[in-house]
Amino acid sequence: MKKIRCAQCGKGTIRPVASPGRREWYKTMEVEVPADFAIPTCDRCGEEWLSVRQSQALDGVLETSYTAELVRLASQQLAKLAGAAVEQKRIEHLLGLSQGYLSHVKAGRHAPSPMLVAELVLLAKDPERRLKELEAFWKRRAA
Amino acid sequence: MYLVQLGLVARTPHFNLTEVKEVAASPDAILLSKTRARVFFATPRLAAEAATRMLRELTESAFVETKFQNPDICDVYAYQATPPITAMVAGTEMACRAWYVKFTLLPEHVLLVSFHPLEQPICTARGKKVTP
Repeated sequence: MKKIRCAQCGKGTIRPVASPGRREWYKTMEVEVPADFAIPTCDRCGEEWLSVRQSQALDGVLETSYTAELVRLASQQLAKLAGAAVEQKRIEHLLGLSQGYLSHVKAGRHAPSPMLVAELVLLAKDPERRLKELEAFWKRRAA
Repeated sequence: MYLVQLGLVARTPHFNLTEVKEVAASPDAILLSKTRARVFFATPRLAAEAATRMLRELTESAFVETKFQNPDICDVYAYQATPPITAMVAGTEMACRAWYVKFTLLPEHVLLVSFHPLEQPICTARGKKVTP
């Protein structure tokens, strides 16, 4: 990459920088950019500049980080629910998931959707109350 | 020059738009500022695709003004996207038709300094008012 002056601050030079601890917004949350992924960055103001090709490459690595984070969050919430003595199959039934699906998510064999993670987060906040509400909701539909 | 100042002739872009489009055609040529462009899109790829589309569709009639950002010179455009481009505004996905665009042209790059949904009405050099 040729030396380019940063148009944001007008003084620094844009150079490829690969460093740990960078975070990027992706779909529903911030995820970590892999430490070895180089992003053209201004050496003075820190502004990051992305080309079309780099944007596509960054999308790929962020998708991997995003999926891993969803698996981690889902497992964390399932552990909380298990700690509250909630049976996994009860959750699967109420969320319309096939039996055993959450075990696959915990084992990292299925990537959970952000919607499922969000549902698990809400359930884990107050498991018994939320599950009873859901049971009542589906029961009313059935009546 | 005097005719422009008197408002008898419309201002014209500093950078020839055909040249800008030629440079922008290479996949590594368009560089998007993260804080002023990428932040409005859910993923980097969506930002890049929207920027590529915008530069392909941009016409001189959308030109607003030239800004002197020491030491750079930037052209500002009010781009109207049809169909609208989806952007993240205050955490919500919105279909945005009017966009504020500011770029500078380098020998091998188009530096997209600003590319975000229009925040307030703006008037093009030809006198057309564009609203958010």
